[in-house]
This record gives sequence, C-alpha cells and structure tokens, in this order.
Amino acid sequence: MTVLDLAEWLKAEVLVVGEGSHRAIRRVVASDLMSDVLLVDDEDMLLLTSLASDQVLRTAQIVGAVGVIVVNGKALPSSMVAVANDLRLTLATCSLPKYEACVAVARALSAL
Amino acid sequence: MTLQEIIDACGLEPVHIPAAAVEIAAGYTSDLLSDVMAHCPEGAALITVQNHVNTVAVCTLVGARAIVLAHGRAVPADMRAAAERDRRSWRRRLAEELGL
Amino acid sequence: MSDKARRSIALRESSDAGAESEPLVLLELIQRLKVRDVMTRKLATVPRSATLRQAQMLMRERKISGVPVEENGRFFGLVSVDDIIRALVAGTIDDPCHKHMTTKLVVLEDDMPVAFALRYFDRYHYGRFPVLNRDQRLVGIVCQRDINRALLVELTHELSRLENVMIQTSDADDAYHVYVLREFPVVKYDFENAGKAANQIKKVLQEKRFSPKDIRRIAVAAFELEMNLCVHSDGGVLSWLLANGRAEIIARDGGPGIEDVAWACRDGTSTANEWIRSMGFGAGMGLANVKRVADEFEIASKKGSGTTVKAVIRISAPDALQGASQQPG
Repeated sequence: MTVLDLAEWLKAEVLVVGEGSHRAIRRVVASDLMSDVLLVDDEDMLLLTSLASDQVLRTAQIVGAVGVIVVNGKALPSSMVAVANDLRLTLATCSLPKYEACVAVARALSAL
Repeated sequence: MTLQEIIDACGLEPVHIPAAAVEIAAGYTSDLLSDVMAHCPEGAALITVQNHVNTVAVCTLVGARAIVLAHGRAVPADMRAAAERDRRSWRRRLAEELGL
Repeated sequence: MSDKARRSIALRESSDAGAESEPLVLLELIQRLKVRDVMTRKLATVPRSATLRQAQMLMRERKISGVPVEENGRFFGLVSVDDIIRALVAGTIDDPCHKHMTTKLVVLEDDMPVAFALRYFDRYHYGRFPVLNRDQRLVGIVCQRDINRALLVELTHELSRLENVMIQTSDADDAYHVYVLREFPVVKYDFENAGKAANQIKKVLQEKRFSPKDIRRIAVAAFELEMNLCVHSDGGVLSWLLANGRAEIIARDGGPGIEDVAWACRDGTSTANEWIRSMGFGAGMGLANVKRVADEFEIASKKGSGTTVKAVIRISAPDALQGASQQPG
C-alpha cells in the first residue's frame, strides 16, 4: 500500500502529495521524538506523529520518509504545507489518536 | 483483555507486574508527556519510549494501568523503583515492528 | 585550466534560486570571536594619583589616544586626549588623574562576541572601549583597529585552509570529484530555520546521485549537528565540505562549551530543558547518532568558550560509475 492508500484507509485529509507517493510503504514509524526518528535507516517509511511542526517534516526528509501523517486531530501550522511542498513530502492529517491509527495501519498492511 | 493476555499475545518482557489479571481498557501511544496527561484514557496501557520517572508520575496521575516501553528501551533503576512504589505494572517490549 | 576542471571546481555551489551572497565566513568569525580574542592586553595605565601630564607623556610615548586609570586591575576611569586638552586650557594639567578622568564609560566584557562589540562601536562612536572580565577587573582595551587586524588574520587562515582543499581536486569530470563548500549560520533557538541547512545539503546530494546510504549518513550528521547548534549553543556555523569522495560536516560555536565531552557523546544524556523536549528534541542522542553514522568523528570543547565538532563520511562512488562496470557481458 502507498502512503495515499493508507491515508484513505485512515480517512486522513491529504494536504500535500509528495514525491514517492506511489511507492509501497515498507516501514511505519509512530513517534513524537525526532531523535528516535533520526535512528531509522529504512527507506519507503511512513511517519505517524502527534507533533505538528516544521521540524517533523525536516526530520522526515533527512531519514528518507515518503510522508507524514499527523494524528490526534492536530491543527497544522500553515508553514507545514509550504515546507512539505519544498521538501516534496506527502502530508496528511488524521483525527484518530495515534494508538488507533497504528492499529488501523497494522490491520491494513496485514490484510495484504 | 487482561495484562497477562497482552503480555502473552505480544511477547512482551515483564519487568514489574504486581497484578497480571488487571483489565486493560485501552491503548495509548505518545512520547509527549503533556499529551499523555491531557488525553490518555484511564485504565489504558501506555506505549512509549520515554523511559524515565516522569512517565510513571504522569501515568499515576491519569490512571493508566501499564507502561510498555518500546524500541528496546531499558528501564532505569529509578524508574523501576518509582513504579514499584506506585504499584504500576511494567512491561518492556523488545521487538517493535507492527505486523509488517 | 580545462573547462572540465573549471566545472568540477564549484566554490560555494548553490542549488537553490536566490542563494545568499553575503560573506558567511565573516559573519561566522564575528560571532565566534570574542572581545578577548581581539583586544590589546599589554596595557599602558596610570594610577589615580598620577598627574594628567604624566598620562599625556605616556600617551605620546605609546602613541595611544586614551589611558585607563587602574590599580591592581581595579578600573577607575579613562583619561582621553580631550581630557588633556581641557586640562591644558584650564591650567589643571598637573592635577591627579582621578580629578578629571572620565568615569561615565561604556565598557565591554571580555567574553562578548565581536559581533556584539561592533554594535557598540556603531552606537557610541568612541574610538576605544575598556574591557573588563567577569570579576570587573580591567583586562584589555579594544578599538576598531584591533578588530580589523584580528579579522584579517583569521580570514588569511580560512583562505589557506580553502586553498589546501582545492589543490586536492582532480581534473576528472564526474560527481565523485566535485568540490563543494557551503556554510550556514545557525542562530540559537531559531526553530523556524532549524534543519533547513541539512535539508538543503540532502537535496544537493540527491542531485549528485550518490548512494542512498551515503546520502542518509551525511544528511543525518548534518541535521543532528545543526540541531545541536540551535538547541545547545549560543549560535554558530555549520559548514559542509564535499571533495574527493569525502563529506566533512563541521559545526562551530562560540559557547557555552561542554564540560564533559565524553558524557555529552553518550546515548541518552542531555542538558535540554522541558520546552525543547516538548518539540521532540533534546533526548540526548544527537552526538551519539553523529558518531554512529560517521566514519570519523572529532570533538573539541572547553567550558566557557566554544565547541567544534567534525564528522567525516567517506562516500562510495556514485551509481553511475558502478552501473557502468556492471553491464551484462
């Protein structure tokens, strides 16, 4: 499943479609600690987070994530859309709490 | 589901389990303690990487029943001591891939 | 120099439109250097009881236009040429200095960055400023000339360093041998811009088509060092040098310095406060992560002064070269 497929599954609102939105997601990371995210070495990764800040996108670009879904129904600062466009990352928001979003994603990926 | 059932199903490593039969009402995952304080449901198992005493304090406050440390995080001695004082159940999770 | 070589030596290559043209090296210098690094220390001074005439003779002898009045490091005031002229006119030239010296003075502190001191020169139009240390003792005097001289010396060092690196560049026209140097100032707690430099570096690397693993290592090192400057230092510069299959990331700041370097480089140790942690940073894995991804790692720091961290990542030849050699026979 691609990041757009997963976003649809989560009923997430997609704000920016980035490069790599067609690639199959091979790893999902749910974290609010950017220091943890910086330890991830896998490509084609999707980041689920409650943190709504530009730094999340900047961290995501550094580790090669294809997209970020901000959970917990957080309102995004307007700067995030510009940063996502600049870094060519997919950005979406989801009203589910992080735990429920993880469960839904796990179900979606294991149903394959 | 009871805590013991969750431990068995997910292959968690027990660290401090005062009551394995306790009911776990929900799951919550967050690494921001302010967020846990605001939203973690009572009776939940909190999944986090924040391995320090503050996590125990916050969980006591919100009535979470268990803390699962993910990403291979170790339990520092003072955190364990705090949990034993607060009679929380503890878990340590070793593998983190979610069904991929 | 052949066209090929010319193209492969790209000083200050920028991939983004509207790249800055201000002298970042200069900016970094005036932020990194402190007043004590540029001031004159060997001072000619007079005690309070010395006469103005004696002060004037000292000024003439040393060719200076102002004499601090001090005793055992305790600073009392300044006698300037203006004070002498007034005394000559009023006939008070043989009075003790303490009677006529200027006491309402602007002084600088020795650990102030030069960038800060320059603002004082701008604002007050004095030719010189006495410099006091934390214990309020007089340790030097600084004037515009001192700053200019120090900057020239430092710039000369920078230039010879750059020239040494350039000489190593070969004539080959391929991405592996490209020479790139970029410097990014990083401001303390400037979260709007934190991470931007690393993002830019990664973009440039992706255009050069190095292996994804190498790109990631360089990007992670740059990002962690940039965030470190933003979160833990008083501000500094992140430089990136790419030449002959080596990427060097250097983070330099002017303070506050690390007391225990070994502790700082360990996983999970951090001096970050709650506010920084709430933004998702400050978990203390930054330097340890840089060590993990780099092939070489150096750190030098002194509490009370600055820190320099250097990470080197050796790059394997880009895909294009490898692809060519793997053509099916």
